[in-house]
Amino acid sequence: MLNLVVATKVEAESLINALHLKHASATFPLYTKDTTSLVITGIGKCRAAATTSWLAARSESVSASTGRNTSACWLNVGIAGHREAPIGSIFCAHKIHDLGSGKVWYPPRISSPLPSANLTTVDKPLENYLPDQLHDMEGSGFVETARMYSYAELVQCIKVVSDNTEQPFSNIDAKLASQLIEQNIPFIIKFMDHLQALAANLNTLDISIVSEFLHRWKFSVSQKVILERLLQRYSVLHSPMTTLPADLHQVTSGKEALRWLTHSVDSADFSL
Amino acid sequence: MIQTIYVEESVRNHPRTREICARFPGATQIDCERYNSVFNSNSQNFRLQKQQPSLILAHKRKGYVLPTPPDYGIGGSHNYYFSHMLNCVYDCRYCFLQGMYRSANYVVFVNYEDYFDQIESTAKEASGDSWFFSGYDCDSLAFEPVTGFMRYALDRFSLIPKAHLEIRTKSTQVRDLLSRPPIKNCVIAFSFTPEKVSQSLEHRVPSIKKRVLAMQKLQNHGWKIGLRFDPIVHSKTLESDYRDLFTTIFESIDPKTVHSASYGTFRLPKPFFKKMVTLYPEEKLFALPLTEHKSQVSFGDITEELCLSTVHNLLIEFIDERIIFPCS
Ligand code: SF4
Repeated sequence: MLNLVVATKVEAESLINALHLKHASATFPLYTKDTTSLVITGIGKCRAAATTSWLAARSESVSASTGRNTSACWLNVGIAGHREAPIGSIFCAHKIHDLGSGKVWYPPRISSPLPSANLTTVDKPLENYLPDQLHDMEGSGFVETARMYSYAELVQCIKVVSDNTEQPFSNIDAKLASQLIEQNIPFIIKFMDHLQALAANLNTLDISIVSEFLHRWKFSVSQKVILERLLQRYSVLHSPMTTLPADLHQVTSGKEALRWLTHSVDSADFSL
Repeated sequence: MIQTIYVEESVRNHPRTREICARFPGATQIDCERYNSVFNSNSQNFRLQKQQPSLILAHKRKGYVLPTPPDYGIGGSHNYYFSHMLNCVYDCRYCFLQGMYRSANYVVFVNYEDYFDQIESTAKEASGDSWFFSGYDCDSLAFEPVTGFMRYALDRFSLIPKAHLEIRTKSTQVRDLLSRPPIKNCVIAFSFTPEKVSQSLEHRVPSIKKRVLAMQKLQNHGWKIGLRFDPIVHSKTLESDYRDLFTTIFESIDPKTVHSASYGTFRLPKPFFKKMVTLYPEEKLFALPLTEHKSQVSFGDITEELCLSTVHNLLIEFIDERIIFPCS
């Protein structure tokens, strides 16, 4: 699952086109295709945070044991200012500093060929750029919120430089913003692929049979956690359970089903 | 290869920071105020980070030397451990570091001198000899070409005969040790599990053959050698697996000059185990029927007893029982 968070429609347009996303909700401007979603947040860190939360809440498959949709990738894409970097250059953020609150996040580095840079999130555009920093208005709100729903490694920000001391902020118009993202689409897509390949490391066991159990019997929250783990163990020690074994058809309660599973895994072969 | 180095502000200009950074000219350097704002931050995933760990250079502020848990040791009465580095370049699936730390990044504390000042004073205060164990939160030698820590440690330990050093490792980075005369108060202790266990659980670790060869070179050079068989992971073929392992080792190593051997079974604190299961749900070791007792997860008393006695009985066929130490 890939969630893209973008501040404005003009920054989002080329991504929507490149990924063939379709308009999917009016609450927030949401565009989707298969497991990819793109939401437009509006400008500012509060909007970025609120919209990120909204998108996370729409995502359904949260693991009972971790409380997270563990493999969801989150990517904030947008334009940013930088004192020295050339217009159109692209970076992923390796340190995000919220100028208002002083809080700092360090997005863990993922293996990607994109260069990286510090990012400072400001409440309103600065007249003087800070040295050696990207400047945006959403990064901190996005990263702080998205990390509540996924692993830090899977929450990243990509910024394309739109203004610098030679070509100041006032020069940016919708056309330029859109063009800058568009010319970097190949790099952005490559980065997304890296991110999703990384996330794929987490989806190593198929226990989709869990829905069959939940449909047939009642389980408390803690029993659901136990059930997930027993199904994982079953899958490792025997083979992934794709249909309910015949023995379980006679079982009348969730508790009994758990007992059957426990016996089945505990009596498995005792060696690596 | 390290691609990112986080540098704590306080060590930005430390000569060792400069030296280490110079080894990775292509790495991106990122400043951080304190190392723990990177290392301990929330919602990190150890497994994902282990794909491409970064290096964090920091200043250790206290707790350079700590007492070991009771029953940890090789016969000495004053036992301490120290960690100049957190995390390991290897990736043993049974390793408690995965359960203990949020991050898989390597932290190196560059103020080595402070460790040895405290080691010196601790050794002086102790009534008799003291043992200092390295390799508790990392592998002692695997990152040596980058840190040079052990080189420095040996220089300092050679001046404190009352203090004994154990360098515990699965590494074959022994070039430095072979280029200097051995010191009497140091044991290089190599950890082993049988071939099958090593192949399935000790990822990125040098093969048993290579480790035995490194050990043989060190022994021939005059270094004291230790053998560590911890953890013992139960299997149906435990006895033959360990017999094969011991045969391989003692074909190359002179059993008479082995300094010590210790062994212990697979066990983990419950919270660590829980976290490791979340990281690697598909790992067979964690799916086996393990038991929980007194907040420890293990194979259970009966199986443990069987493992310990099997390994002990096999070991005494090769070496003197007086140098064998069970660890609990
Ligand atoms: S060598 Fe030791 S410290 Fe390193 S991963 Fe293996 S068990 Fe852990």
